[in-house]
Amino acid sequence: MTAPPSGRESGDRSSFLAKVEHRASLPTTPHLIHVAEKDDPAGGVAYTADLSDLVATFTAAAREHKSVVYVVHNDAEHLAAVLDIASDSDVEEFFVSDEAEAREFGNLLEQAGATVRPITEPRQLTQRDTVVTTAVAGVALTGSIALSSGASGSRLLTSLPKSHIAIVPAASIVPTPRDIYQGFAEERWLGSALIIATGPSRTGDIEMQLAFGVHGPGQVVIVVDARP
Amino acid sequence: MTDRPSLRARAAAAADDGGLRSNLHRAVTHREARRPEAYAELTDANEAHGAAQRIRLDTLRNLPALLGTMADNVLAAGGYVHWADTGDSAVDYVESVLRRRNATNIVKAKSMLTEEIHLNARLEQAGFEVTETDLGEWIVQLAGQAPSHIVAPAVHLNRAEIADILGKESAEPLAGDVTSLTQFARSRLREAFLDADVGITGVNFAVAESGAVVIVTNEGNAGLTIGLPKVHIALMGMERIVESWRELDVMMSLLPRAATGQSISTYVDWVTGARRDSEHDGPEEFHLVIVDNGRSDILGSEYDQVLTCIRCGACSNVCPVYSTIGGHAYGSVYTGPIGAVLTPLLSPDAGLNDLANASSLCGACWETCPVGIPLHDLLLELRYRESAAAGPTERAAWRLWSTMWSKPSRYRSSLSTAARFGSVSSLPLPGPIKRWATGRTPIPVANKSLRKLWKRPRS
Repeated sequence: MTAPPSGRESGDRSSFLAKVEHRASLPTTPHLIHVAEKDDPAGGVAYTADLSDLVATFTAAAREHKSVVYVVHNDAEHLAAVLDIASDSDVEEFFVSDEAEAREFGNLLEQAGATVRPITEPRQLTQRDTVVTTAVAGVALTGSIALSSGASGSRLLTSLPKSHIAIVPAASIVPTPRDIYQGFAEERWLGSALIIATGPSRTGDIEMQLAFGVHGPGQVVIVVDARP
Repeated sequence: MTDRPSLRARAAAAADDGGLRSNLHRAVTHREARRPEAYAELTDANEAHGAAQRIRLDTLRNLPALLGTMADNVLAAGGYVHWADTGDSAVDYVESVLRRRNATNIVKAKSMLTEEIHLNARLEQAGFEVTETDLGEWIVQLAGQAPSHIVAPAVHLNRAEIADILGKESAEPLAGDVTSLTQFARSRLREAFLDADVGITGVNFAVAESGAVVIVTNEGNAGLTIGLPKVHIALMGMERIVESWRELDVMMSLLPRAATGQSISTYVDWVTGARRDSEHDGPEEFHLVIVDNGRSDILGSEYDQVLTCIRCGACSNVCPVYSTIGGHAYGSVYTGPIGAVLTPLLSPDAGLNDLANASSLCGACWETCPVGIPLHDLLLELRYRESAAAGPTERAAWRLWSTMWSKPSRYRSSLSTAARFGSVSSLPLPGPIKRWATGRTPIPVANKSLRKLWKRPRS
C-alpha cells in the first residue's frame, strides 16, 4: 500500500490483531479429511461438465436455471429474436442501459415497433418494468450472467425490474465462475460491484416450493449473440 | 439468565409437535434429495472438501495478516473499517453510523452474525425501524420468532401458518398460495427498500487481496440492500475471510452445493466499497465491521476447527436430532450440530452448555460438512468438559461403575446380579437413572450367562 488510506478506521486494530496473532500461533492438531495433500489447495475445483462448446453448455445450463435463451448465429436469427421479444404483449416499454450491445438491441426493438427508453435514473425503475442490459460475461458451467456496475454504471439494473433482458456476446462466455472471480479481482471490470446472476430471483422459504420473482426479476431473457 | 425449560423438556415438547415434525421432514428430505445431484457436477467431491478444509485451516493460521490486508484495501477504496472486539462494540458502531446519517429506516439482508449480537433488538430499542428482507427471515421477524435454521429461517412453519402471519400485514385478505404470498412480500418489502436510509448485510466471504465482500442470495434482496440505500454496513465474523479469488472459487463451489443443493446461488454480489464517481447508484458510504465477539478465545483451543465453518447449514439437514426437534428447541441463535458446538464456546454463560447432549454422535454432520469439521469429536469433547463440572452424585456413580467393572470377578458378580433381577428398567430406579431408562426398551438378561454355558462340560 503506497497510497495513503482514504477511508476511516475505528476500534483498536493493533490490540484486536495482537490477540488474534497470539491465539493463532498456539499449536493445535486439526482433524483432517483424508485426501492426498495438494501443493495448492486453491488450485481449483474440477467439474464433470463438457466445456468444449461454451455456447452450448451455457445455453443448456441457463435454461436449466429457468432463463429464456435465444442463440443467434446470423442477422436473420437476430432479427427473429428481436421481433419475438418486441411482440411480448406484457411489456409496454423497454428501458435500455447505456452499453453498446444493449443500445443496438434497443434500436432494433424500436424499429420493430416497441417503445424504448434510455435509463436516466436507475432508482426509478419499478417492479413492472423491463430492462435491457449487456452482460460483461456469461458463465458456461452455470448459465450465469455477470453484470458490472463499472460497465453499466448501476448496481440496480438487474435487481429492480420485473423482467431482465441480457445481451451476452458469445465471445464473452467463460468456462466457470472461477474466470469471473479472477476477472473481477484483476480489475478487468472496473467498478464497485459485480453481480453474477443465474436465472430469475427465487425463494423456497415457503414449504420448499420454488417461487420466482420474490425480489429480483421474475423473468430473465438471455440473447447470446454468436454472429460472426 | 435461564428461566427456560431444560433441554430435555424443550426437545420432548418439540418432538411431540406433529405439525413441526412434518414441516421439518418435508424440508430436510427436500434438501437432501437435491444435494447429490449438485455434488455430482464435481469430479471429486472428497478432494474438493479436502481443499476447502486446508484453505480454511490456513486462513485461521494467517488470520492477522489477512484481516490487516482486508482492512487496508477497504480503506484504500474509501471505505470505513471498525474493529469490534465484542458484539456490543459492533452494535454501538452501527448505531453511531445511523445517528450520524440521521437514519430511521433500515433494511437488512439475512445475517446470522447480526442475530448473534442481537443487533435488531438493540436498534429497535433505540427507536430505529429494522426490516428483514429475506422472505423467511421477514416471516419470523413478523411472527416475533428467531430463525430456526441457519439458511432457512422459517423452515419450521407451513404455508397456512405463514399465510396467517403475512395476512396480518395485509389490508386485504391474502390468497394462501405460495405465488400470492411471495408477490405480497415483494411489493411490501419493495416499499421498505425504497424508504430505507441504510442497508445492513452479513458477509459470506471477505476477499483480502481485493478488499471485497461477497454476499450470496437466491432472492436478490442483498442486491437491493446494497444498491438502494445511501449507506451499506457489512458485518463479518473475523474468520469469514479468504486470501484471494482462488480460495474464494473453491469455497463458492461448495457453499451452495452443501447449503441448498444448487450449483450456484442465484445472486452472487461482489462489492468493493461504495459507489464510484462514474456510477449512477450504489451507497455513498461503505462500512465493514470486523467482529471478534469470543472467536479469538476459540482460536488456538482444541475447538478451533469450528471457526472454519462457512454457515451452510448442511449439518442440520442430516442431523437426526435437528430433524426431530427443529431449531428452536436448541434455544440458541446457531442451531443444529454446529450450533451445539458453537454456542457453549461463544457464549459459555448463556446456560446452554448442555447442548452437546443434543446429538447421537452418529457423525453424519462431519461426513456432510464441506470443510470437514469433526463436529462429533467436538461434541464429545464438550460433553467431557461439561461432565468435569458435574455434581458429586454423578461423579460417585461413575466411580462405582468403574470400580465394579475393572476386575473380572466384580464384573461377573454385577452380571449375575442383573440376571437375577431381570432387567434394569423394571427396577425402582433413582431419579437420573430412571430418566435414562424411560423410553428405552428393556434388554432381557439370560438366566444363564454365556460364561456359565461355556464352563458347562461339553459332551
